[in-house]
Amino acid sequence: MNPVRKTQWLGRPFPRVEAGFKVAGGIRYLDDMDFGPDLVYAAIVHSTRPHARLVKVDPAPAQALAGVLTVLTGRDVSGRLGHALADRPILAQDRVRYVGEPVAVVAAVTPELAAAAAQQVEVVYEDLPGVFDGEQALQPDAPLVHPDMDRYERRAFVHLRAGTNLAHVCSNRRGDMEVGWRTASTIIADTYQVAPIQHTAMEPHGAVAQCHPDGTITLWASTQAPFMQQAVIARALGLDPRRLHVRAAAVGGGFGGKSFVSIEALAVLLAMALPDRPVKLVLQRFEEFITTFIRPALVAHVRMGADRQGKLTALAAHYVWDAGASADALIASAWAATLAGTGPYVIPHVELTSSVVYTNHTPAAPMRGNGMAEVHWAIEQHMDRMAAALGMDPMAFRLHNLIKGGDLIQDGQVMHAIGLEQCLHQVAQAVHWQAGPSRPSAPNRRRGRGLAAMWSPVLRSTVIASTAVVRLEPESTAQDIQPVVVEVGSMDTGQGFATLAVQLVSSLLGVPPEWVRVQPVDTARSPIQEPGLSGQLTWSQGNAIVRAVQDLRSRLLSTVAQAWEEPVGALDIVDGVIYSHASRRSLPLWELVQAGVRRADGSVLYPDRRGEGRFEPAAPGESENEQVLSVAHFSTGAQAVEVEVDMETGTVHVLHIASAFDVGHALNPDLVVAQIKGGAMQALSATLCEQVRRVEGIPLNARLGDYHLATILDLPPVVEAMVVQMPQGDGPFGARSVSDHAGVGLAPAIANAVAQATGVRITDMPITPELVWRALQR
Amino acid sequence: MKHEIRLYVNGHEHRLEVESHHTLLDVLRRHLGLTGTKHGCDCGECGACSIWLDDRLVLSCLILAAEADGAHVVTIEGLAASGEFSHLQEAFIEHHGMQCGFCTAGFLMAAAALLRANPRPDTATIRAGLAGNLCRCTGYHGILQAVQTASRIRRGGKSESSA
Repeated sequence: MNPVRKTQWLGRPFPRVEAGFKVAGGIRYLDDMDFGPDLVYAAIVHSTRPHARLVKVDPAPAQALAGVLTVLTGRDVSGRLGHALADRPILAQDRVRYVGEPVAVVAAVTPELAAAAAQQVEVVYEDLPGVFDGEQALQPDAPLVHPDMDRYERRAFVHLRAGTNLAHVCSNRRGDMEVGWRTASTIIADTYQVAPIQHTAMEPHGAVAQCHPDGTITLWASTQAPFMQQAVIARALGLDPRRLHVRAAAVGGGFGGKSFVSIEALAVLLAMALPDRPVKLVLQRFEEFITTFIRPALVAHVRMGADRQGKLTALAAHYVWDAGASADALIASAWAATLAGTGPYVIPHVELTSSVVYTNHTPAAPMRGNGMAEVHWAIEQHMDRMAAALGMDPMAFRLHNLIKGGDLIQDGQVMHAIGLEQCLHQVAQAVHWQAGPSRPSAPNRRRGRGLAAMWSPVLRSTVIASTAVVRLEPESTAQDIQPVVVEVGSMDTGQGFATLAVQLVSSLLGVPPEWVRVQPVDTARSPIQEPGLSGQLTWSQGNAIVRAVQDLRSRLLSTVAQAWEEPVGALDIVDGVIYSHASRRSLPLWELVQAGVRRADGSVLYPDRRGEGRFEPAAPGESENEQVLSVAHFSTGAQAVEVEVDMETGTVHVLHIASAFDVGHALNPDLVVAQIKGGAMQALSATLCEQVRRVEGIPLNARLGDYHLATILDLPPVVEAMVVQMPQGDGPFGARSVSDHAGVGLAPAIANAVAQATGVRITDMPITPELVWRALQR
Repeated sequence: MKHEIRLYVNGHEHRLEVESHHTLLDVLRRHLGLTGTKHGCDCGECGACSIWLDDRLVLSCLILAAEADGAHVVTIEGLAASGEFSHLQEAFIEHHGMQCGFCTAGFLMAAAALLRANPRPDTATIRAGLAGNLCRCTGYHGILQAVQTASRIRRGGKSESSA
């Protein structure tokens, strides 16, 4: 009898590997780590002006306080940070560009003293006229935020316009717009806006740096992108990257806000000034709102045409992103908006433009969905309005124009198989789309349903290749320490990637999952991971892990096959035991690793204990167009809601959320569902509650008590997640990622439901009671 | 100004010298190394620092350590070690009541306090009891399910023992 395979952990629920530590308070995030008695605490001196010339920055009064070790200003460092476009000074130089910009940084022996000393640094400003709106910043007479931007180091794909505030502009055109408009019987144009919000990870940003006697520097950081930290900070400080060693701590949420360098370079700078002492910089909550990153405000101008049969003929859209004082983090979002800015529909004549514009606001970075939530807010509301104008049901209108496998997306690119249509049907069914309006809970309330489809491009330009190593540690025994080690350069930021890695390795290698551990990312040891967004880990890093395990497994088995003089195909590993189907011989994997395998002549063979896998996505087709070539695949899904609106107060209550995403293959269905539900609620919060408020660049609500995040009181009575599985051709077991875009369709679905319930269309996010109430009064 | 205080934390007595401005959160984390209690906003708005002070659920960032002189404190480490709420911890794992985990200790302290006060809370009571804790990852759905499950287990356990 052959042994039964007990090691198949894929495609079934599997608990989070670190969950036991998390419920016991045992996970150590950056601020929980012990750096010993020499630890020094840092505090930032922030700009209090949105746009001003720096007349004087005098560290002396702070420096004079007992216990203050050093105060650094822009005179001590001149480097600029940026991955695609180096436009963010580590410390302000001749001018400040936003309230919250670091002007100086202080190190002292206690955090209280550092904060007090930061108040003593004397800063004299000479105010400059500022610009606080993306569209106004594009006007010819607008004050310039970066007059010298053409001197900034940048990648070839950054298209800036020197002498303006346009940091990057990109377009995507196909067909003939004139034909598109001429063949349309219905044309609607409007403008949609999305307010800025903050990523609001529950763990604030933090970094600890230490400069060692040999001149190397270790940076411990709460980051989604350790290799990006290493590359960007080293370049900005003029360091050999090999001197800067980044070790990732457990991350308490990121959502894109920790995907780029924000304050970490300041810790490195202080560490270089205070050799051999660890320097800790952990942000206060208000600094998260003014100093790190926010999701950009968007203004979307949309003009769409359809013919009498209800087929879309043309779309012209201009997406204007308010980048704040740094555009670096938005280059990929802007690009994605020109690739997927149509929504998931077949439209023959298209002109999409993205403009990334400097203003005197806190720098922007994409938040979960890489700009897709903002773009779909506009397109998916516009689809409902087109349907209404054409006298069609919004669902039927979408299905009539929906992109399907085999459709031409753009020149040279054909859509792969997707389950989008199934997603739409499932969410529509879940909220009883076809039923008439359900009965409101009170006479002053109205109910309505709304839905939205979505797609999101996975960009090859952000994932050039993923590498993984799986190795066996012979000195440990399987019983006490987890001896199968997975090394990757990507982070589990809470989405469950480490759990997925354990599932893949245990299943494919043939060992119990308890044997497998995923190493924390360490740029000195982990395989390099090109800076990427987390919407791709299951697919890209998952593939690399699969290949690394296959490599290791074949090395192990070929050694045994050679010793036993059997074909490799006769061998298997089951529950950590190598077994021959031919000879029925068996050998515990650990015996092989520690003592080797004996040949018939008595000699001993030892296997290679290290497997490596690399995944480099193939180009999607032949094209001259670099933008087309940058898409690896699309993720798709749909969301539908039922809402109840209080007609007296304008308050929107979401009663039911139904989300369906095509995940290719749910390798861990529970994790997938958790991502979909969590993503939906995060999107609900952005849709109804959140807004970074500021007047003329002055922040008004830079604290959680004034910035409304959804709480458990906002959780709708019904939150459903449905999983569609149309395999991804090049995904691990057909899987693709889901966590990044799990909220993309929710906001327009809610807006469409509000419109159905009340007859008023809210084009600005968030949908506040005031906005609804005012619209109802008109 | 320095203050000599005595705290009973998770059943252990500690004599500490603290500054007037030190919060209970500072003392737990920095003096006692109990880092399971998190520092999320420092102004009582996120719930990540929730602990029990003399059996009351409080935000440790809003309590000065000197005020807590003589008090009994329970943190997530103590809750976990006691085993009294292991069914709640297991339910959080089962229902994916955590993702990044940063808010988890605060939620567990709040949920355990809720279940102590009311072993059979209805949904509205659970929501009200957890409304002071923010979570950015889970969307609260798994947390609500976890507390509901834990209350059923507790109820089942009680009825068995009383039978």
